[in-house]
Amino acid sequence: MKLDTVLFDMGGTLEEIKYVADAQAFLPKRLEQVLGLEGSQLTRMDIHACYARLKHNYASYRAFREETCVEVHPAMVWRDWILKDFTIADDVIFDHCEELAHVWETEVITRRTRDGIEQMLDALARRDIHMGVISNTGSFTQVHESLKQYGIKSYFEVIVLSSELGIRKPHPYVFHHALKSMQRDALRSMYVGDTISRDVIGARNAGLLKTVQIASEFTKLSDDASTGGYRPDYVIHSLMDLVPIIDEINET
Amino acid sequence: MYRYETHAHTKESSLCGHIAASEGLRLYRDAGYQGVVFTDHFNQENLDAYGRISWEKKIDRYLAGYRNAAAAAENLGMDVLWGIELRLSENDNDYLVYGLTEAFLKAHAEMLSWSIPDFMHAIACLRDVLVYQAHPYRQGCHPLLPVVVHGFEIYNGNPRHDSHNDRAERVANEQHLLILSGSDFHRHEDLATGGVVFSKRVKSISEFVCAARTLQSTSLIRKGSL
Repeated sequence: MKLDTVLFDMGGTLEEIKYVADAQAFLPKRLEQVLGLEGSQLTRMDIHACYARLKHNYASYRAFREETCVEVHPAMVWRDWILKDFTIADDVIFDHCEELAHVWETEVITRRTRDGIEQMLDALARRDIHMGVISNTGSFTQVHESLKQYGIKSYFEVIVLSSELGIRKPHPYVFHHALKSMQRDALRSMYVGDTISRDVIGARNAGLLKTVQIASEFTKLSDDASTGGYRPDYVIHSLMDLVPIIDEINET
Repeated sequence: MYRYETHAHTKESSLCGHIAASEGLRLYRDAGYQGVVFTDHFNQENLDAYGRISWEKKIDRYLAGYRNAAAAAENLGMDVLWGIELRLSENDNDYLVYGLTEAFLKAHAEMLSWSIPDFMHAIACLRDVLVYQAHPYRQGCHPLLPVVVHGFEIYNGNPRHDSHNDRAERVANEQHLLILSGSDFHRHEDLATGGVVFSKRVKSISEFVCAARTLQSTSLIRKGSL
């Protein structure tokens, strides 16, 4: 059966991503700035203690969302998890929750496109491959903005975000929703991602024809011993490696 | 400390409810509770029983129990809130949903035909909505795995069912889920068998959701006592 659709993960797959080393130095002040506060607990506390608290609270939300397939509204993520110890008025958090999520996604994490991304997207477009993005993200806007900034947004027919669905990969609903929006068939589709736990397992459970893994800095953070039994159909090291794989599938 | 019932039905709005809302509220006041979240059954069978009326009127009919309780609340000094015990047509699972609005229910006449991921998708843009699977290990229910709701009702106090609460609690702990306890109040014998304890009063469903999010096991009422 001919493969005519490729869905991509965003962070770690289309982009190289890294946690910044010096977040402790700027994050409390930056969050305060976003919230329009001055002299709040965020900056009154010792900077090390404040950052440790933020990290601890974020880890707690991360544990919840990694164990479930639920993406909570950013207003609740920040009120009920990350800033829960900081006595900040609910309305203030709610009014700025998207900005907070955006800061986390773009300033605590640095992003740049992987090498060869436009060449690869051009090559797939020339082959009439339909393309989409599925991303687990706490922000409603960051993925759209990043794709636009990279100049590649027009390649993708759909951009599916966990923040908009309330559900995260690896739940098959996310993959089915993307394919349904594109009116494409899972049995003619491939998924490219950097993790076994979310990308490979999710795409396979959703019935996609092929799964491809490209290693990133987040692969080790996300995958543990429990994912050991799963293997992607292909492992690649460069996005351009996808092109001959798709050609080979479609030739056979 | 303030006790709240999280899972209660009324005679006015649930086919299986035996006690009128205002009477239920009085019973809870006498049992030492500060408030009740009424969660009448929101499923096809229950809504069909309201007769051949428009969807909008069905929602009004559905909220009748809550409204009667709300009218009685001031005299009793109680807090009255509402949620729904949702059952979608895909199976017999029940979900306790807190934070929906009357407008949301009225706008989605098709919602019972959704899957639970469809439902979670529909509420993703709403803040302050929490969804728990009610008594996930009771016979006839299928615990969601992977979990796409925020939590499990890990203690259901209804004496006429074995809800296998221990299993629900174990899985909720393993998966870092939010937790809840409720009496599943329909009759006198169910009164105050479950519920939660908050450190401050919750007067709106938004405050309830905020407080429920941080509940620990030690704040759950089980068989009437902590």
